[in-house]
Amino acid sequence: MNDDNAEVATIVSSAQFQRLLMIRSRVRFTLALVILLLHAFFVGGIAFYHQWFSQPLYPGSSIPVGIVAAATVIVLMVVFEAVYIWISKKVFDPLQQQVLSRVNDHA
Amino acid sequence: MTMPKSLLLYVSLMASMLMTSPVSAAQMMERPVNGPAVIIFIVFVITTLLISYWASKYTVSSRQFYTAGGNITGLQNGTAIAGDFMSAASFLGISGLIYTAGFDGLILAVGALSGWPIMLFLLSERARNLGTFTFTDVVSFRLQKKPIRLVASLGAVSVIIFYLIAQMVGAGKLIELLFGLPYELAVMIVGVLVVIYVSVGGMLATTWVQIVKAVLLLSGVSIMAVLLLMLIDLDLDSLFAQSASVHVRGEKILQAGSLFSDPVQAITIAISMMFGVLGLPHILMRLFTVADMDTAKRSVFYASGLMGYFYLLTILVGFAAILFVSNNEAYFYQGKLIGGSNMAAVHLAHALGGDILMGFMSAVAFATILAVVAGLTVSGSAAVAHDLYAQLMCNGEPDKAKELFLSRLTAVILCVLGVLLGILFQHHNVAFIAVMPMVISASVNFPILILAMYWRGLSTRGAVVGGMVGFIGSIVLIVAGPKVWVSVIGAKAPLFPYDYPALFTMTAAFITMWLVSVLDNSSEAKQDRRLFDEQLVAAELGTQVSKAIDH
Repeated sequence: MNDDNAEVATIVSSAQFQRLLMIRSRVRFTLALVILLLHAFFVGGIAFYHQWFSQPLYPGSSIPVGIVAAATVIVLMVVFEAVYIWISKKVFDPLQQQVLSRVNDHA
Repeated sequence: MTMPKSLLLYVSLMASMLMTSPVSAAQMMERPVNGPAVIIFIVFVITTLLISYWASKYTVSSRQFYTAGGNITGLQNGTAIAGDFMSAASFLGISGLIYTAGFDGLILAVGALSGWPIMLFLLSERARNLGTFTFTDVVSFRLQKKPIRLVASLGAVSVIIFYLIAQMVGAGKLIELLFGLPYELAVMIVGVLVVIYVSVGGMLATTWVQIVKAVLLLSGVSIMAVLLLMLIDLDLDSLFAQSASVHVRGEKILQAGSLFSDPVQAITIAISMMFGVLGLPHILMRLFTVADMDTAKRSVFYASGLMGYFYLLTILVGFAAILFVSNNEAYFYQGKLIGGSNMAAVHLAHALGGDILMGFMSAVAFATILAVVAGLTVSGSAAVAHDLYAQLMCNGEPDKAKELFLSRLTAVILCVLGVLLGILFQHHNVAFIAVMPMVISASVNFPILILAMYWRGLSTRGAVVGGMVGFIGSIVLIVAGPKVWVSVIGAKAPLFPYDYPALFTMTAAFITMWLVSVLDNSSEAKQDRRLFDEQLVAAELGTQVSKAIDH
């Protein structure tokens, strides 16, 4: 158990692990905040600025701004997920591999 | 529109959203049994029974039973997750709400999708790395096993049971209407088929039932959308213009905020939908059916892509139903839409593709209920046999054969319970039961899960007390709210004005967890925090995964 604790402490204090942790948390929470804001933007259209959401998209159109806003919010949510998957592949996976290979070297 | 009036309209709409309104025998006589529906449904049942038989050969261990051995691929799991979440209620209910109320119905479509990106960013990877079979495994990684498992299981089991009853009652009414079968028989068919899928084929069979159903539902909605776009010559502008001109509420259906005059009402519904997704035990369980954190993450992404597409088309279907159903007398009986607003999408299928497309969509709706009930039953089995029996009663060292037997037995008991409660509640107004799972999930399961994984300061005491505050708060506020206090008890006005109290109960749970944890300096709390580093390494690197699965 003590060996395990020591190993955990070594990994946690290593610069690479800290870097992985910091970048990953930053990306995760920033993107989560973006999603919250997107959702809030849509709900705000029902709760607060409904006049704007009810206006036609352009003069003479029957499509209200809100419909386009809702569809855009849905599409953007999936797009931001794709962004996270892409960042994971490009940035996190190599970093994680680095940390893991150091852990295995020690073991 | 004055506030109480719109509130009343809103209450009745939400009440009818998940439960189809009762239908008289006379109404049913209007619509003879649909041949294509019966044939397509029988083909679906035979296919899924064959899948269960095939899967039974592999389902020889608990790990197979709960997680299909962790061998599901990302795309398969993503499709199955989408299948788990795209219930008949979401397709028929959301399009039905848009049909009646117009724009504000979109709050359910956007809300249903909005939790998924958060699941991807914050939950999918860490939860996959820390758990084995259930989300209760995740929260008990560093917290005191007994108390935290008890609270998490309370959250899991109550969500599953309420969800199950809502599905069963919805199933009985829907099938009664679509196939002309008696309510009791319809509910029993669902019960018997799900018992076979789950107890014979376990998670592997359940996963494939979900995949088949998801593909059928997505194809059906796509066909409807293509036929529709051809019919209106891709002119969406005129679709909205004509819909507004035929609807009883006229231009109001294109205007935001016409249904929710109170901003808090809209906000608390949005919060319940968004965070409710993040604590559903049967959805979280699907994260453990794949090999590693990367596949778990990709499966959530695939699921979201499919659901985003699905909800966009559902919005289109809702508005199209206004145009093609509301001014066609064939779909009305004595001035009322046959089957209520929930049937708007099914009538639209008939308007677009005749008996064949309507039969197809009816069969898909039936298949959808079967698949969702199967998913719930597997997760209920895991909550009882794994979380309560194997981990709590046997301290993690159960008799393996007994555990597997108990999983199967629980599946049977859950289905029998579901059928009995479904029949018992047949004539009651049970709209509140459909609200319960999302609110409890957002107020109990989600706060414990996210804080256990991300906040070192959380102690077991904080999680347990906060979880109980969320649980009791949810039940009290739902009972005091319009759906029980007015619709069931019969009072004139509710004690608490909102149907979905998650905005308040989730906030209360978080504040309690924070406060109790900060004040908790017991030696147990110190131990909880000391283990955080070990959990952090496992959560970020996934190094514990193999160890956790082997034992």
